[in-house]
Amino acid sequence: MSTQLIGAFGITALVVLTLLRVPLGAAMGLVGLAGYAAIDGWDRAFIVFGTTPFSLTHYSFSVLPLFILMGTVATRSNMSHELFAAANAVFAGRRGALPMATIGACAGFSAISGSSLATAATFTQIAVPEMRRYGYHEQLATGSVAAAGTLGILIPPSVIMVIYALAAEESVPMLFAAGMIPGILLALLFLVTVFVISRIRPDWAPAGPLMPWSERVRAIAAMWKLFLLFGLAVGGIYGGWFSPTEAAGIAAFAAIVIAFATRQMTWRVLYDCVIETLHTTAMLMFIIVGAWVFAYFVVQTRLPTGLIDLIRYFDLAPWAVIMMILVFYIILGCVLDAVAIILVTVPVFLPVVIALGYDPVWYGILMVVVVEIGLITPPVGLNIFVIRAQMPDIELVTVFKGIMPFLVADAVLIALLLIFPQIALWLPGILF
Amino acid sequence: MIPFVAAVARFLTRVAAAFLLAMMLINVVDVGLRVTVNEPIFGTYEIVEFLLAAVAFLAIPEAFLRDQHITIELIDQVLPPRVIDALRAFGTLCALVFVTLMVWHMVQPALDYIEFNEITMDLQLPLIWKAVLIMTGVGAAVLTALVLFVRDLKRAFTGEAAA
Repeated sequence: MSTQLIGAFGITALVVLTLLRVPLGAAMGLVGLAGYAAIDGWDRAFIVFGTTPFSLTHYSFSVLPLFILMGTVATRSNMSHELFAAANAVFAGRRGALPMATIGACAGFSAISGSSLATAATFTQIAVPEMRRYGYHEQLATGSVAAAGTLGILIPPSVIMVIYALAAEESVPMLFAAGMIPGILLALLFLVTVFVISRIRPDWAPAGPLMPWSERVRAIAAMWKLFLLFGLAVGGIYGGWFSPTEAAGIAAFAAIVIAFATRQMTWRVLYDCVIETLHTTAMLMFIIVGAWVFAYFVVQTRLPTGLIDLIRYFDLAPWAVIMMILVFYIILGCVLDAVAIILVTVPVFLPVVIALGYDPVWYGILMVVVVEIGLITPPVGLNIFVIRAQMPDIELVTVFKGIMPFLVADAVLIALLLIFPQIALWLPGILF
Repeated sequence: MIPFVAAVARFLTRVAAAFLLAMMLINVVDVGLRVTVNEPIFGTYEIVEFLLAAVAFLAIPEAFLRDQHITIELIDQVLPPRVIDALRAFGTLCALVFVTLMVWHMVQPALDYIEFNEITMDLQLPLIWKAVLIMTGVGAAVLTALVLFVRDLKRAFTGEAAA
């Protein structure tokens, strides 16, 4: 049996095991082990298997728990409320002000969080009740929160980008820089979406009360925490002051100090934040261990080389291949979560994409945008379930319908990234 | 059995918590010293890597106990509860096999660390320390996966949650 056929069997086995509810890390690890053994024998497979966890304590991985800690502290210390108030101060009095404020606040929160689920969960509690109180349509209220939550993995610092960087052996600072403009652009596209909905269905988005300027300035001034943390976490990296790990450590520490100084944190809450961070990190590491074993297997199969040969045989244009990969990702996004998609597919597709002449950093950003669509599309759409879990009286169908217009904004961003790769590559080009 | 395993898992997570805070603080102090007196802590990279071994692996058992591992639950909507219980037991069995094989095959590289006296470059820390931290986490995950498998198996056969 050819190695590429073994690879195809391996991927099929992985899909079957995953659908049979086997934990993702275990499914990838076991398939990777068995597949590697089928190609190179059990002795060598077990050597790779047993040494993989030791290789995953490399310094570069330490950025993960520290950024997760910063995001957890920011989430638990009410910074989100202040962000929402500040964003609301910007849009107050306009039709659709509250969904716009939600998008603005989520974009800001993404700059200190890095998790879509945390962003969506936080703003469901803050923004949806407020929008309902002012008579906003539930589709618009929930759709805007679910969509804006996805900004969490696009605007740096982003846990998903760190995972892509580790899997693809790319630079974390380069990816963070590359995600900045697409993230802001997507936030703007979401704002345009709300504006258009408010024009087409004015009854869905009533104009709220105006806010005095003094109150607006006070609310916006409360965003200093956000700027400080973002400045430390991201500004410090590009200022050349810190490595990503140091930046994450300092920003996590600063988030704790700010939270205590502003009386938004107790020792008990800090303890909960640390434990929550550890559980999230452990869950990610379990998957990463399995994914690394799986990646060793994929390399042995020479599956990417086979794909490249196939593309050359059919004389496919590079853009057509990218389109096919995107469609595949969107389908995959409907059944797998973001971390899994990145870890499973990077070893297979990244060599193909590089061979076609595309930039791996640009591809990483494109991948994050496509993967985030999976967070808001059925049946797995985790952001939607987060909203539903906190607002059980809202029908799931309502949330899905609410998402639809925002998917158009996502599609526009993907098209722009395909046509103008510089949207992602310009900033890293200047900074590095 | 579950309370004992839960206590072990909780203890390991608390140890990891101390290591996480230490990891954060060592970065702060290192940068602080570098910026103020141009005297960073020697070997920070190596210390952070050792701390990471605990942070990344010691909480895995408790994450197991809390069912926090990512599982795709697509078929839950179409299958009867008893079949889902059986699949849950199968999934836990796979996780058990995975962590058992892993810890078993980590023993030889760990013994090699001792035999060849492998140490880090700067601080000359024995690599076996890191191996012990990782193996403790994965080893305890074997225990928790075993307990969860027995629980899931009972549930699959009786339709009730085991005590």
